[in-house]
Amino acid sequence: MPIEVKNLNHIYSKGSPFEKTALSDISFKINDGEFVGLIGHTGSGKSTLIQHLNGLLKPDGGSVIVDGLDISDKTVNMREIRSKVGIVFQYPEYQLFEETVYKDIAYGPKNLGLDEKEIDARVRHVAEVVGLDEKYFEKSPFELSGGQKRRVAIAGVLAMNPKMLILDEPAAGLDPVGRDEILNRIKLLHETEGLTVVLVSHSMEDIARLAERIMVMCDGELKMFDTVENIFSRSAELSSMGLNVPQACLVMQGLKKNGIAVDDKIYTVEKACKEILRYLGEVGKC
Amino acid sequence: MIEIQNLTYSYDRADDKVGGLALNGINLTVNDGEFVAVLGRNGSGKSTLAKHINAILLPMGGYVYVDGMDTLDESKTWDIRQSAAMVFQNPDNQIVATIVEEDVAFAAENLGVPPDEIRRRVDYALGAVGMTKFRKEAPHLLSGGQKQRIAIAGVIAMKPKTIVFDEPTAMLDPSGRKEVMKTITELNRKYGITIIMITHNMDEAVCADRVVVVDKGRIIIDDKPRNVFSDVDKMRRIGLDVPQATQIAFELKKAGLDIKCDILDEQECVEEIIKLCR
Repeated sequence: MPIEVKNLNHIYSKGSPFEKTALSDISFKINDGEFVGLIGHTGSGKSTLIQHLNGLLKPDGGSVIVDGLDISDKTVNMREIRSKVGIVFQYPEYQLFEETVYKDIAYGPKNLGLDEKEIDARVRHVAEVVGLDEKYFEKSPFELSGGQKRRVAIAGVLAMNPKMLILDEPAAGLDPVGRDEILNRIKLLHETEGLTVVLVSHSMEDIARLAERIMVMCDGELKMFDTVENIFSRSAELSSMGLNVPQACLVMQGLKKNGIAVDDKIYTVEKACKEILRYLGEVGKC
Repeated sequence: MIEIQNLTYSYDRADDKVGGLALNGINLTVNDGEFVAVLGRNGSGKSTLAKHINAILLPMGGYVYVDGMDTLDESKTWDIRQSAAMVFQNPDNQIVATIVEEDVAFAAENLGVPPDEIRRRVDYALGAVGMTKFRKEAPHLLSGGQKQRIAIAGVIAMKPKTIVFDEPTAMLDPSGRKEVMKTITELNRKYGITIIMITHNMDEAVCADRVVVVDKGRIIIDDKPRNVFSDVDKMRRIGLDVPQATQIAFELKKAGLDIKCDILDEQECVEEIIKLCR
């Protein structure tokens, strides 16, 4: 499902002395089935932007077209938009509220007015997708560990059967294993079910590993929207915007600066190793 | 100095069917002026350990001594908290006042420090975290990294010997992380404050003099960062990462190259690879 944003503006507290432009003249298109990374410093407008993508916020100028529907159009049913675009906010485990894990996941589909059988099928399916064992279904969500709670929260959004999933720092506060488990599940979902994903993260390593294209926000503007390798090759610009690049990039760029003819548009450990071995083989050192 | 002897602790909630000990026989001594990073998986017990150092939690077995004061001695609780202060993950939860310098003064005021001494301490603390020029600003208008530095300044105004940080950069963007890590490192190197820092970020743990790894309520590694991270296989078994630069060296060595693995940052990694090219 494509999303198109044209000349989007958003101003907080418009008309008051505290007026602040949060987004200015943003235009982009996310294609069906893409995995997009969204990066930017705190206050750059990332959260404001994603809240426009399912109509939680309305544009003060420009338009947001979700699957052909303009969210500013008064005749458009917002419920339809929100069931197409699911947002998992930061620390989503704080949004759990039901008595049991099962009820919490079922809450969204139940409000869509689906019948019991369909709800049950969805709950079981999404639990499997996020790697949550059925033995947790009758437990209180508040008894679970942080990583498990987060799975329940993500499952609750997936149970709405969205065509696009937006995640705001889904791995914040998780240890490396917990982080990889959650992110790999999301990747798998993207690959097997063709889900369009927008991942907001401060971890350039995670973005590098998962995204196909990256959007870079700075001071309310969309500064770059390009492939991962093109974005991370602009490390000086990124660092001037308060961002960085994965350490693997820095190693490759450092080698290049020292006159070693390696490809410096590389952003993962795996590719870096391959490229270094290729180079050493070429110059007859291994 | 912090001395922890055979410390055990259990949350022992009635509804906690898993139960067990959150801390199971911890022994740890942190000397004055040291910078110790504490690593471990979620639920390993590292935050529980940190909360024992300033008497938020009290030992069920064993002892914790902060500058010779036993945390079980209730008459010493306030002295302990002044000596070993704590900074948490989310700066928004730690800021109480509407003006930066008032916020920094808050804890010291509560200790009953006289006003002219507070003035001196606040100026000193804001200088130490590099936030002097923001002293008249409203904290909620600052960036995440700046807010965290204000929270740190508030703690410094209490003149603690030790600061315990519980994932101080988890909620910050890359530049905020850099600012806060620079501040923490400076507090240790320049101001001689003992630092105990919990983190999931391996690049940050590299800044410490010593890395302690907690797993299932026990300390399983206590060594220099270089020795800890060079054992990539072991770190992965525990469920922890190593910096990408270390990973690259490790993978190259596995591929049969003669490269050392005790590499901590990109600079060292580049230098080692250049050696291979000659």
